[in-house]
Amino acid sequence: MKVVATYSIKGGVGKTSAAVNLGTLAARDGLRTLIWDLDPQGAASFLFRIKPKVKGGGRRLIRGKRDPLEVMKGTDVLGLDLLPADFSYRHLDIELDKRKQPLQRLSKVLDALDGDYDLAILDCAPSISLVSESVFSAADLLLVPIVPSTLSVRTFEQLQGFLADTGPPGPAVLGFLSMVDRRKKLHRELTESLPATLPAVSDTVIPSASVVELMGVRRAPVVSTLPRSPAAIAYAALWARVRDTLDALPD
Amino acid sequence: MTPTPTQLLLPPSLDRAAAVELLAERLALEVGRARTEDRVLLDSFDGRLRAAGLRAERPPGRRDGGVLTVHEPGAPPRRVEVEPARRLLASELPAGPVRRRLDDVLEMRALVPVVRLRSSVLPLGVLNGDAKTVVRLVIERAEAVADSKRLPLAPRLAVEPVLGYDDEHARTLGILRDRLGLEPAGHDLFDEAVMAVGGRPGGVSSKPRVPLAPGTRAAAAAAAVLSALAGITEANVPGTLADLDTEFLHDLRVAVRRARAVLRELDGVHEAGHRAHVRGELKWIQGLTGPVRDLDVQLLGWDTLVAPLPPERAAELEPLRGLLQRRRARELTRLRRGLRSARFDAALAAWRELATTEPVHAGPDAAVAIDTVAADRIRRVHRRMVRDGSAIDDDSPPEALHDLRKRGKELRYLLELFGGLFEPKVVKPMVKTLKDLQDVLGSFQDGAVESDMLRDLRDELAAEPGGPAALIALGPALDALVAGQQDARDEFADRFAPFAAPEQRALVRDSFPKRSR
Repeated sequence: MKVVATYSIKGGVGKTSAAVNLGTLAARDGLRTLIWDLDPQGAASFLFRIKPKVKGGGRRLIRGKRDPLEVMKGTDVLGLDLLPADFSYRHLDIELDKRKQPLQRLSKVLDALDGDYDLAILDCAPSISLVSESVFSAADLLLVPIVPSTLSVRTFEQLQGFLADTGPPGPAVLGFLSMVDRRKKLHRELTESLPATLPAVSDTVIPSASVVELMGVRRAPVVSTLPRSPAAIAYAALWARVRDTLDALPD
Repeated sequence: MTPTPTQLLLPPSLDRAAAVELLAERLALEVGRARTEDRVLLDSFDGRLRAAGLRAERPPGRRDGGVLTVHEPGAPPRRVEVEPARRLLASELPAGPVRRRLDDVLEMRALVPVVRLRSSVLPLGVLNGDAKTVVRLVIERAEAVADSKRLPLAPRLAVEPVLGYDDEHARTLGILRDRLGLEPAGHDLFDEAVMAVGGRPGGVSSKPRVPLAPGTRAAAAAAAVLSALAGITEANVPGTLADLDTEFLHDLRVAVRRARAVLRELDGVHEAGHRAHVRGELKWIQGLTGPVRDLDVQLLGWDTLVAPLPPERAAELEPLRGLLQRRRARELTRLRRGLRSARFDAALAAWRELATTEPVHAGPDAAVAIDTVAADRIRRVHRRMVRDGSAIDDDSPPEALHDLRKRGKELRYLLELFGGLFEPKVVKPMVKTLKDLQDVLGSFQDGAVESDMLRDLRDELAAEPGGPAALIALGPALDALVAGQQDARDEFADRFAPFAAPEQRALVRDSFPKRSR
């Protein structure tokens, strides 16, 4: 099972939108896929109309006292399941800190699902913390949305620096520009320059689009509701890049 | 554990709209888009996908190309575009999820068409209070298509659980059965389609499943087993002729070998002349089919052969593979000629004639109980193996191990065909120790056959383009084969010991009584 994490230090940059749309596309490609909603706000769970609650408690799941398959929920997309969010994840840092080998905890939960799924997508809460480091340890690929601003680019470079300092084996990193508004000059410039200067940034751009914002109202991935919209087409291109990146990674 | 999908029968008089209306009275439904499907169900000849809970299908026509789709409960459909090809092997599919899923299940078996099905399909979702799909329903009205005939099947409502919504699934099933009175379908839709066109769900097994009762006359038992084996042989002829995969020929050969074993072990059941004629003809079939099988073994074991070599050396050995393939093509032509010959037809007819309950010319043991005859043979063959195996030491010639393996096959067939007549707690461990022993004897013998064949090919290989480099690469590959053979031989004593242990011998003596004559 390959593990992708949609990750950013900042909130509201398109992590969850990427997770649910890419998860849908992966399942459509025939991969048995799960999304683990690690954000206590439970946005991914909400989008799939699934209650943000882990039966028996999120803490027991992290401690390895709960079989993740027993708390998994099938989404409306055939082949895409969700490990729902839990409000207790707001204290996930503290919970991990109490455990032995805290950086391995998330990997251990995922290990129990290895034969049942081909791909896991971790939808992370925005932060840089022990949870983030645990995610870095579990993931094969970090998928990082970058809103087109100088500060976001700097943050992306800081993340790469942090992972380089931590040393191998770390996850591969793939950034992509998110919430791009082509009417804005800076957005256009960064769309042109960033993939050219930073090889870890995909040239696929997710536009700032009302259909993406409306996902919260329709409570379904845009690739399902409006598959021909520019946003859905952009997610499909991003998924193709992610799939190629994953295929190139060693097993 | 997630509940399994269920199929319920819909009254044939109920059209699709009326069915939806009926369901909507009791369930909050989301109605999907209706579609028609026309697909050919595929499986291996021995039904491996069905046994693994998988279903493969492709659209009809396009000379067998198109999108191959694999369905598995709870998993998304996996798809791959396949080119029109003479045969469809998992190992020859493009890399991806379909190949990954099918590789281990199918191994060397090809996918072959099982039945064509035309359906109108309407997917429905049962929704909870959040408008989330908690159960999937599918209304399907289908017909099996065979030789331009359309055979209507009973309309179905498939009820598929969604992970994590077991209560909703149970509630929905309760409503459908108790309130709407829908009855469970006796067979899966695809099984029903296969039966409608005269096929057998689950494919054709290479194992003769002949239930025998103690006390059955040996002639009747022999007839039942020989008849089942003749059926398996005949069933595998078309696939062998079409060269769909290597296992058609393999299973044909095993059935013939088993039939020979029956005639050898139950030698007093049939009239001697008739029996000798059929045995001779079966031997001829074994000889006819042997060369292609030997080459199949070489080609199937290619990865193992080149495994000890560095990649560049392995590539240099490719001319050998080409040579083996060409030789196989030549031998296949000869084999096809033989299988289409009047002699083969006559051999099968003689075999069938022998496989009658009351042989025209019965032998002296025809009326003896089969368990009496089989027990005596099992006891004797085991004793002979213990004697021959105990005499084998480090200086024994390879033939001694080869002969012991042949006896082992004899015992194995006896246990496979007649073991059901005896105590499972005796037969099962006996089969296990025998299998362990046969595995090392098989490795030893296969290594010898393979290295002999490869040595014989050296002159021919040298004359091939790239032949000299291939010959150099062949050296270490042969060394590895010989080393593997030696490993197998070294293991012999350890595997033989439990088979020939005093307590095992006593158990065999007690469980398989000597026949009083």
